[in-house]
Amino acid sequence: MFCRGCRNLWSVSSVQRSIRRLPPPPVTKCRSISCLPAVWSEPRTSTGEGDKVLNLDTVPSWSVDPRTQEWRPGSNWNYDKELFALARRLGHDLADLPRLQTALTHRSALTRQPAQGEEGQGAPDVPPEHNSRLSFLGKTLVQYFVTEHLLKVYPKMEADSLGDIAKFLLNDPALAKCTDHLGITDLIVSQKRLDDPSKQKIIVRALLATVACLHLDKGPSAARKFVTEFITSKMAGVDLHEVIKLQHPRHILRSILSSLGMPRAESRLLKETGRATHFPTFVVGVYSGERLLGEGCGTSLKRAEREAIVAALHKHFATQLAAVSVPLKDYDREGDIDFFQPSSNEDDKAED
Amino acid sequence: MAHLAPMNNGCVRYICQLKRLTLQYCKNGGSSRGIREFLSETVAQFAKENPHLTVYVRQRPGRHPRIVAEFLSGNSRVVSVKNMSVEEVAGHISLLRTSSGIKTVKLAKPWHTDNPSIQGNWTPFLYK
Repeated sequence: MFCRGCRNLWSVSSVQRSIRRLPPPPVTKCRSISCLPAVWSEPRTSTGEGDKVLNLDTVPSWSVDPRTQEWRPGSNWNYDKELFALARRLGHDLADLPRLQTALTHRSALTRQPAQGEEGQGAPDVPPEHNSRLSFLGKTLVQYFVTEHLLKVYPKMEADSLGDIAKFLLNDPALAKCTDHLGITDLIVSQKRLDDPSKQKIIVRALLATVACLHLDKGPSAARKFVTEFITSKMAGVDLHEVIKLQHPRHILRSILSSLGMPRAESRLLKETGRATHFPTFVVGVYSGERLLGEGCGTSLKRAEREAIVAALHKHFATQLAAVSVPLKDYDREGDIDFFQPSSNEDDKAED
Repeated sequence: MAHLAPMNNGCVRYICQLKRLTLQYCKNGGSSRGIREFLSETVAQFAKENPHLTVYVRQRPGRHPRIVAEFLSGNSRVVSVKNMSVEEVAGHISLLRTSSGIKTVKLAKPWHTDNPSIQGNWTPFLYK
């Protein structure tokens, strides 16, 4: 048999076939790997957090809701009840439900033709507004609250690294995962199929619009609480080494040391093994005067030195104010916000 | 490093991971007796106490009763409550309500440790 996929001769014994008088098989492709069908699209688990526990495979398949002609997951649930439950879960009041409904309505849902039989009970009344304005406000709010939080929690960190952390918390896959896990995705009213990875923006917009909704209805402290509880809480357990990418660590270290008035950085080889082998290990420490700032190991002296400088910077950046660790409280008072506190004038690298 | 709950639930705020319960029962079957009693007595109170859950009650004539739970993580779990008493049904529902929504996993070993090596692993610098 000649395979139409990989153009190889198929390993079926024609002798056996003729002995058993079997009909020729109907398929025309062999079973080699090159002829298997293409890999199915990935389920919508996002981000590099490596969270193997979560499994969105079992999200029920999408289908068109016959009453409203919209793409929906699941089968027999009542939209209004689910909306009510979402409001209670996220802390909205009952009076806010219309605005919450607006926050979940994507623009594409308003451009559809009215379907017949629209007066079925339980069909969501599509409000005449969509969530673009709310999500526009929400995006800025979320960025502001996250920035405020990071500035407060990491007083010694450079702005580039803060930007890296903010990007880690606020990129589309991360926010989409957040939205899924709050149960918001099921209730988004939209004409587009949301299980497509390119439609993550719609999901993220719904979340941002929900934050804006809270802000408008209950004030900035409620919105800040939401962002702190659901978005910045993802910082717990995250290794900053993976999140912060330091572009020029040597320059950063030099500028920090000179601003603190400490002696220039010097790297010294501490330990080594296997120098003449294929896999040497060097342990290099970076010193400022007599003080060891950081240690790093690597397969070459240069790499080890870079690791040492990066370790020193991470130790410096990751100093947090003791009072601001998770669980976070007392953020509701506006007067608590002052990022640029007068520096406490000891060598911050003095606490090792 | 400590193991965190999925999506860091509980680190700052805890939200109940159960989002939807569907109680399916048969009006006449004997195996549904317990859940019928639960439905006539307790379910309204339960739904009122848990406004973040939606509880659906569906009839499935001629079949054994069951509870389908859907979690925020997208997983679902089906619990057969055939021939159970009211207390057992309530117990299962309470178990679902406090569940984390992770799929039930068969543990390969009955133990877990973050420090498998007592004296420390060998490194090239151990005896230098």
